Amino acid sequence: MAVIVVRLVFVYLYLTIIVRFMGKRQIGEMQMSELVTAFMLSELAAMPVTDTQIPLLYCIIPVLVLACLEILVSFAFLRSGKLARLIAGVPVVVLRYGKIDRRALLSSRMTLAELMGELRQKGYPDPNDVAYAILEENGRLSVIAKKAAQPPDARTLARHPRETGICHTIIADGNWSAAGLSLSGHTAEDARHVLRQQGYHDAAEVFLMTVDDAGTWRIVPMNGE
Amino acid sequence: MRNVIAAFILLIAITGVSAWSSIHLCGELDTLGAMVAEIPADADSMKKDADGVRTSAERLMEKWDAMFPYLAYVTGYTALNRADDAVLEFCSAAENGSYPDAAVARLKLLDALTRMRELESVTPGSIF
Repeated sequence: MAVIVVRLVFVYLYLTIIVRFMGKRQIGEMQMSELVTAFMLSELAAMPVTDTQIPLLYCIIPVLVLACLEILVSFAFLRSGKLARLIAGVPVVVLRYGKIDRRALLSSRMTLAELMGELRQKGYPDPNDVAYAILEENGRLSVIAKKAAQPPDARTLARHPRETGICHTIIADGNWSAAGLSLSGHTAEDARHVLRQQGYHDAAEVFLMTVDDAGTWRIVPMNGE
Repeated sequence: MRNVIAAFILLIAITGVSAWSSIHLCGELDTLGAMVAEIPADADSMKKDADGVRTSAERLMEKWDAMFPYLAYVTGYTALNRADDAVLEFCSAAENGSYPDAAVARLKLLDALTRMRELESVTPGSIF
């Protein structure tokens, strides 16, 4: 059993180093340690299921150890910036104000075609429209367009729209949502008051009731009108 | 934070339990190995000490039966089946007075136990 645990820790560290060495492009959307955990979890879980010659404990113990390692590594990343940079890497600026950084591309093993493809997918076929293109730790490309290439927003149009935040669900399909109420900062009594004002007597009559951060209530009755 | 503390404690506990399990298992396998090593190695010697061989076979079977459920939890079934077959082969051969077969089975059992111990002890050989 101890051999299994030692082997698991060794393979975990080994895979982490290898994935780090492979670079960001291979990661996809996960963090380095998450990817390694995903690799190993799927294999460990499948092994004793398909091979009856392997005791189930050979799956249970390593999966538990892997989960513990993942939690501890994530915690270590939070506490130590140096460790996080060492294992997860740092964001790399591959394009700055229309100028492509060839060295950064080379070090990230990203081809020009890949960069152009990513920019096109983000809606910027011309690199000159881009202020920054940053290859993040998780392998995704963040594209920040130049102000002139960005669609106009309220600020650029010198408008001052009211901040409405998000719509919090208060009643969903006739049921009160405690989480929505808590997030909205309103009480159930506030919501009941609004219901009464709108002519409803019970939550069961309401299909959806929401309130935004500006305090605008919206009610969709159960009959769908 | 609670998750981190729980993970840390769990990791220490698993490491401790698996280390204990490994040491305990190696000890038990050593005991079994010593029992098998005490049995005469060749058919002629077995024939001369037929009663002793039969008694040893019975003791070996008892010990193996007692250990088997625990072994089934913590070791791979391939190595375990190999040793189990060898124990059965040895005991039946000793019981029937078929000493040449018993001598062969004794060797197989010693080898199976050695291999199980190698796989269970934390050494570079078993890790890599």
